[in-house]
Amino acid sequence: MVSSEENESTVSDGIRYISYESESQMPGIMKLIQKDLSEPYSIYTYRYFIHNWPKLCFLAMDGEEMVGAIVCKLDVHKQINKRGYIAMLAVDERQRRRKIGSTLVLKSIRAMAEEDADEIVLETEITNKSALRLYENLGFVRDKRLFRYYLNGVDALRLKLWLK
Amino acid sequence: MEEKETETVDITQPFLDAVKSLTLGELLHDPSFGLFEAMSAIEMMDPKMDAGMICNKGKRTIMNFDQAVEANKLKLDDFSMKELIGITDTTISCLVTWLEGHSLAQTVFTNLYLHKPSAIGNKYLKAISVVTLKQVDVIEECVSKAGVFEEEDFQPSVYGYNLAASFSDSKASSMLRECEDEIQKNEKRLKSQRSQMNGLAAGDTDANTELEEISALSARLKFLRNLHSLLLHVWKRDNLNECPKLISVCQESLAVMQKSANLGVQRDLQDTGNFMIGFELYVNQRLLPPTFPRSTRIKSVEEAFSYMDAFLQRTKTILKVTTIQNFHSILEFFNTFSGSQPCVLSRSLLQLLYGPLRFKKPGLEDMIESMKESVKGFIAPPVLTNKTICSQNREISECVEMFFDRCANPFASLLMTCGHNRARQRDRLAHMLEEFANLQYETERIDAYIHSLCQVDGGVRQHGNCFSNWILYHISKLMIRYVLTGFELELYSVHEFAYIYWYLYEFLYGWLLSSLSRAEAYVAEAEASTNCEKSGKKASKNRAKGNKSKSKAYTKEILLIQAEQHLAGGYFKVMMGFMNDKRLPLPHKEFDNESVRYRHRFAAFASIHNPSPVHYLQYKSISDISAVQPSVNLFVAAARSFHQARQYLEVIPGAEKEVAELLKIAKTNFVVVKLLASGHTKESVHPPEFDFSVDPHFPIIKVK
Repeated sequence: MVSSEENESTVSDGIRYISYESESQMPGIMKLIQKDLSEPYSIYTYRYFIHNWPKLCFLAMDGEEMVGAIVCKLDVHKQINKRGYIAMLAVDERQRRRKIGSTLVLKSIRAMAEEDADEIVLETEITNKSALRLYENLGFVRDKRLFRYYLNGVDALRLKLWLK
Repeated sequence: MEEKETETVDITQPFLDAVKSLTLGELLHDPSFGLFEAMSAIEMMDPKMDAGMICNKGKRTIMNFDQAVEANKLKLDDFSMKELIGITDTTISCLVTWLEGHSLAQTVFTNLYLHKPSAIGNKYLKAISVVTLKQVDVIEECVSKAGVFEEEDFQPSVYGYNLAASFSDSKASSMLRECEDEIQKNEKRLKSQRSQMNGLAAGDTDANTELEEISALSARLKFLRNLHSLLLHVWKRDNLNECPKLISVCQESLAVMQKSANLGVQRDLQDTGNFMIGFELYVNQRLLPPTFPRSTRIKSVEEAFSYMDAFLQRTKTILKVTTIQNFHSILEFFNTFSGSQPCVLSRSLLQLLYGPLRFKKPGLEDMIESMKESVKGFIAPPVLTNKTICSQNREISECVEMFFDRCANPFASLLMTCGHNRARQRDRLAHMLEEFANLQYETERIDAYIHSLCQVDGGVRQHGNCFSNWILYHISKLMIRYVLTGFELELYSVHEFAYIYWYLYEFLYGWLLSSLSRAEAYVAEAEASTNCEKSGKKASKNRAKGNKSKSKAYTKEILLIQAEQHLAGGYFKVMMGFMNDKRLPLPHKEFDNESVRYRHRFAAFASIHNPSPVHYLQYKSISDISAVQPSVNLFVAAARSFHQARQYLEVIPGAEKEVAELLKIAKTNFVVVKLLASGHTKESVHPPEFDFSVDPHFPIIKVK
């Protein structure tokens, strides 16, 4: 690994948080995220987000093992809003309840706020109580309900954190 | 010839060799096909993404109607009763699955018999198939024309299948009726045979089963025919008085069907190849759009039948709209019906019965007439109650017409908005508020002009802002609805309840009430003036009487609003108490900002200038005052609010379910809040819970 200074890596509770560096981390990210997903993503979905917004992708490392990842984007929505979007978030099952998810989300919100984001949004299944708890604890609220949003017919919620 | 010219070359190795020249992170792509486009492409042959791959999964060949017939895998005749019952029930299940938002390709058209009904030899199955296609046809027309669906509600595409176009609706119906007649004869014959053999037959289970099966099939035929006929009546808005009878026949048949579902051949859920005779679940896999395969699970017969049962009940309800004259009642009806979260088909049927924007009879003209009557009843504007004003002054009469013409569109759109699913409705309500804000702006102008014209005319009563007040009444109602749907859709966090209920309590209900009391005063004035004209002497006596009779009409509505207002007040005060006791989990401070959240939550109100939106600072000053109070005071105040709500509810005449439920909530919360005031569970580490199971807007508070 390269020096921690360059990555702006931080350590908390024994977990090291680093920024995305290169395509060589892609298989690890995909492996981690794929496990939690109800819908498949092709490698190009990951590439679209991560190559366009590499600074908005953070990884949680336990030693050399990747135990958490967050993938975001930030662009202008409806020509007025600078909207951050959390596309993917995953934490290794064995490492849950250690605030790894919250730390990753906070890191990405900070990065997006620094780039002048007006709001941050994401979608999650209404049945995903742990995700809802995580985001709502950070100040996200449920902005919209999306009826039968997912392929499996479950409703989704659009969560939003207004920064301005 | 062509095949010779095409040569297939394996490029795997050359490709892998070429790739080596790229460095880490480099990607070669066409300028017009970047990462964004690549994201929505699917990887061919990946079974998770490529819908077509499902067909290649097993060894089984997927056959269409012709192929299956040729391979002797699909029989066209000699069906047992059990088979006919099984096929029919599965077909109905497919229809219901379609109505729940899935594609026809993956539901109804997995039934191969529907691909070529004329080739079916068995007359029962043929009639069942034809009428099913006719039902799909009329349902598709109803839902598409009503236009209150979104992609998640309904998929209208028929994928080029023929919906039995060569059979007319009446032909389809008579085919079924013929079968019904025949089967009834069989039933009679069997019954008489049995009675002849008497004692012997009683123990003959075979004969019993046969009879049961016959009546089971007979009920299904009857159900399909009457359902088809019911849909046609509503679609054509023709002979609607026949509908209740058709519904009850359907309901009776459905009851028999529910009891006899076990008599049919059952589905094989383990082996998709043998799902049901005549069904091939993957036959249309290649017709699906090149996206991720949406999973479609065909509903169980039990689920499908209970859907039908509820659908019939809903249809019975919506037919009542045809008897409603009062426009306010129509609006209320649409709103209440929508609150029951009805299916897309019944939502569409209601639009067919009353959708002045898209359909005639009743059209916009009829709607305008009933609006006039409602405005007259609501606020008795002199220009509507006193016919001479309009007949004497053409300009006034034109203004009045202009006002109603201007209202027609927003109100008709509001009715349509009610037709959409609840999740989409909230967004649409925000747009409606913008439209009503514009309408309000123009109405104020119209009012002022009419007022000035009337004064010149020297009328006894002034016009004032009659029409604006009527619009204000509807705007307040819309705003309340917008806020309340947030509860229904579970959008609010508990820590937001305080400002949500505060806004309802302090402003929205208040505005609504003041528009009502202004209207009440106008009406009383109108009655007094008519009485005055009638007899000068008894004027004062009659006036008192008139006041009483009219206010009665308002009583229930006003009491209910007052009750809801005080309930909201109660929640606001309880929330303040909980906050003082630090019993509400609050979000992480770094990015959470209540003022920003508040502004966005009520952003939909920004377009309305009267009443103007209430700024966060106003809330903040109130909540700051509460923050320095002992929480016991706040709980005591909340108890008072819940008690007041109860008092309003208790004097509402009649015993409606809605009132009884709110009463239960007010009473329970009163007790809970009293306990809180006495310091009960003060040290508890459990956050309070809010149970919305009795009412979607006003929860029962629970503390541990």
